[in-house]
Amino acid sequence: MKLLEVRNLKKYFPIKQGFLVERVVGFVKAVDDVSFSVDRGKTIGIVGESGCGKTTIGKSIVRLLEVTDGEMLIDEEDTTFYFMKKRRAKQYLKAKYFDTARFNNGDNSEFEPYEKKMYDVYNRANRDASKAIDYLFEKADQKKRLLRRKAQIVFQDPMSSLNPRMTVGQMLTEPLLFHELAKDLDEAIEKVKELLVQVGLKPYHVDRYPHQFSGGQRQRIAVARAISVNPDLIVLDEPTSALDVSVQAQIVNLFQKLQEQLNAGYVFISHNLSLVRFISQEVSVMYLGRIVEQGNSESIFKNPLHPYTKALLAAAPIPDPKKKRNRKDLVGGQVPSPINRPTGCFFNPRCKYRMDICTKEYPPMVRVDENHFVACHLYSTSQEQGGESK
Amino acid sequence: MGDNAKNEYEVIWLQERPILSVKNLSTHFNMAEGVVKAVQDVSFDLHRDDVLGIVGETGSGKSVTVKSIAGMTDSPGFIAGGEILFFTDEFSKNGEKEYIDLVKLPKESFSKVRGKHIGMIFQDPMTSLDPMYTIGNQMIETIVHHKKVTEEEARERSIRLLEQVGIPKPSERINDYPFQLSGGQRQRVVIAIALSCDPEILVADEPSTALDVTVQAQILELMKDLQEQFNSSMIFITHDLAVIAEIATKISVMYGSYQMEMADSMEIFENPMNPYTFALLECIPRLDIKQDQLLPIPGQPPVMLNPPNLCPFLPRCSRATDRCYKELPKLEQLKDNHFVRCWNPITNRVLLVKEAEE
Repeated sequence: MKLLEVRNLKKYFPIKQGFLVERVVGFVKAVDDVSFSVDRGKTIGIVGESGCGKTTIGKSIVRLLEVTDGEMLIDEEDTTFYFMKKRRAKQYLKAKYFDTARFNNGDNSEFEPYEKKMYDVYNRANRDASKAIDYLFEKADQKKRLLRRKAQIVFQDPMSSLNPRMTVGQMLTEPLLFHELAKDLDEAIEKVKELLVQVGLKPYHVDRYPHQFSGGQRQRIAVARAISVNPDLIVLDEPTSALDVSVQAQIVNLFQKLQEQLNAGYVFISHNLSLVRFISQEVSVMYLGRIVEQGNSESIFKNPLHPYTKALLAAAPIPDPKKKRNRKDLVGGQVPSPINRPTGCFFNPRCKYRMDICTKEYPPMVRVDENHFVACHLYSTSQEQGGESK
Repeated sequence: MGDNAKNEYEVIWLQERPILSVKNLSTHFNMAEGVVKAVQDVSFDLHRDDVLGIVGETGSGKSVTVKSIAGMTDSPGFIAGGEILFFTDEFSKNGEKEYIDLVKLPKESFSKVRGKHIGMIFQDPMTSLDPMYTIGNQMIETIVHHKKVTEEEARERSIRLLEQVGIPKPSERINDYPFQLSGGQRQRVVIAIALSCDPEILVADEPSTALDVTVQAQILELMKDLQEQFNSSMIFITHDLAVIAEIATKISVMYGSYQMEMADSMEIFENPMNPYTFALLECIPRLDIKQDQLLPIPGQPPVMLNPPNLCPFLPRCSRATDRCYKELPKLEQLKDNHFVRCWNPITNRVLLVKEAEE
């Protein structure tokens, strides 16, 4: 069973213009049709340059942002609508599940597990769509809580993600009490002390304020806060990029140790390719809101296919003066603005292998190996290439 | 004939002379809480065509070192000791080059050195360019200030420079304001300004850190090419060992205000002798090989407020000996051009890697 499954996730930010009367003049398509999944105990790395939408994905998963479209399933349960306003949630459910004729056909053999669950609800409500939706809202608060407990996030800069006016104890007991993982404050404090030891701090740190710690220690506190509720899924949004290299290794090792202990799934967001190679089993490479290459980490790093992935790997410096970079794959230019993306493949203005079709159509995601997908016309089926040559 | 021989000898001697020689430089900051010793006992020679990489973590003193060289240590910072000898003809009366101690140079005279003989590139191009002026204004101002040229000539020179740093349509872009350029282009403009007066030394303080990887690669390639073209020496500061491996010919590793090790680039990566350098190389994730584990350095970087007069790496070092707790080691030359500050240096790296893995 997949821990997290993200399907066709879209997040558009409207661009508004006008005084008094605001008009939407366009959209920043921060995340556009992104799908991936994470297993328990595994890590998926999301890499890309700034502005490619990787942080937006992270925030969408833990529902700090409301998504525009797409589904997010946690433990095969659609959780997308949990934090929507009720009216919008109803619209969403109706459009997605209870408006289709599929449920009425009665043939449930083709349903995926999460659809089956909805189908059961539908039957329980005597095949009345609005009643079924009401059923789904029955324990809405509990469901929200459960999701907040299951999915946690660690941010890049611990100085801005920790409240400077709260002591470590106050900060860490709050989630424990809220999720009723501790009966009272005393028990919570005891648990916090255990947590601090677990992340490599000392129990007496419980009464200190964030400013009394070094950068690495602060990040440990942020990690302790994330794991305090025994989450199944942790989103790590550039968790080490504010840290020094010598401390970075400590934190990375801590993540790995905790993953073994908690058996949690990680979504590791980073621009640091070497780190992603080290920590993750699967990798998604993003460019301008879309995934251009996805699959097994070793397969991607050893045999990158998409020209952008190749460029990224060629651009990353290697700490060995004997190894010179592969200048052949380097690209010029800048990442275009996500407001005004190129037509066709978004990478085509910078790409060396550009063909006619690249400026016209966005390439579909094709499977090139068992667990290696790439969205590039170079690897599209020969049939399509034949069509292009005409 | 005797004269000739002497001249030849002199020419060689002049070429082999370091263009910049820093001796036992210390820079401190007077704070309410005490003295922050940001840089202590830093020495190096910079020869023509050298690219000296200074690598270190946050607070190791690498930026303050070059700020001291460029005379940018404002109160409460001050140079507490040492010499910065710069080989120049700027202040000589007979036109011959001589060594000038930049530490003793008055603040007013520094503007004849900084920008003209020492070009600076900083990390964030948005803060080093003035948002209120076009890039052309800023370039022309620099050139007119340092060289005896008219504004028209300076403008032509600026356009040529912009072309050299790879800005498309330079004659149009010269009228742009910094905000109209992308991050990578802004950094290119900063590089153009730094090179505008043919400086002997180019100081780059984390020039690629604020940029994306693909743009970072472009900027690094550009800097390498330009350094060869302009035939200047460079001091390159970064926290990223991979970047330093790419660009530097000579590396100085700093930690806790001291130079821990200094050697040729290859030597540092192949035979690190200081335990800190060794540990640093073991704890970075690598893109080119699959690693099973990272070996972190335990503990935290030191606080530079009133530090003890001991090796700064001591609390985190696995090779500490009794002597380390008694006195501070000096930066000593242990091999050809390989300087190490350590009482118990590593002599056999391979053996140690094996031990660490076990």
